[in-house]
Amino acid sequence: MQHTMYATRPAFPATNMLRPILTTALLAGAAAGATAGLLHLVFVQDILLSAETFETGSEQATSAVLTVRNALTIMIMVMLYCGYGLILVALMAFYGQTGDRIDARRGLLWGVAGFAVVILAPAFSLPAQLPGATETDLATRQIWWMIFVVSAALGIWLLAFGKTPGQWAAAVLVLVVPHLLGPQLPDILTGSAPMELAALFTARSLGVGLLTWLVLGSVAGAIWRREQAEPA
Amino acid sequence: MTTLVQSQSRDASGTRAIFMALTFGLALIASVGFASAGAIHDAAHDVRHATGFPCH
Repeated sequence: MQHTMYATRPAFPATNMLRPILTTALLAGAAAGATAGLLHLVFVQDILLSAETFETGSEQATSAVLTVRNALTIMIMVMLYCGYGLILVALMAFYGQTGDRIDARRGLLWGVAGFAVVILAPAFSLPAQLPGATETDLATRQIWWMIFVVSAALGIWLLAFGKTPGQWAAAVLVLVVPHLLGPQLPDILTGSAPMELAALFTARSLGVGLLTWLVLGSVAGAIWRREQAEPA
Repeated sequence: MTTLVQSQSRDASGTRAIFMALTFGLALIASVGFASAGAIHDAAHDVRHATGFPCH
């Protein structure tokens, strides 16, 4: 069996591992992005639109405009989760080099971790905001978003795969310290939407994020396992 | 010996593939979440708000 594997290897070995990573990531990303888009339209979009009427004081747009807007939202969700899928599967492949197998059930755990890293961790200090929230400097918030995500990724990787109490302690520090130093609410708050809308929006955004990441992780795990089972 | 050489080249190609996938992924996320060009911002506006990217 081994000999057949080597004999059928393509001439350019870089494509050898790239093809299964791309297949897995893009299929899982499309499934997760479609899930995110549909859940967004059912549970989140109305809240966002009514916040916009508070922000601008004008009526909602016509249904034709909204249809285009919703189609774009689904398309962009698919792009975003293909991006997340590529990173998730690349990390699964990296981890797989140690010889551990990943399947759908393991993938579910990777999905929970991904949710914690890119949705929950930044939301702890920069919760999803409705249009019309108090404006603070955009670049500063974007830099903090990246710091929160990178530190959460490092912290959760250390928690999951660390082997010594020192590594776990480092994980806790890396997870908590950025939020002690991170952005504060401005002194004067001028958000235009009622707080009930904002609270529901933020909570729904987290819930949709978790469900989407469960789909991304479990589908990626299931396909990755099949890709690994057949000789590349 | 042959097997050893092949398994080493396999690891190197795996690492290269992992880095390529990471790069593609980061490029997609950066354009959806961070690009400030008007058309991209407008198309991605609702997704940015709902997925927690700082938007405006």
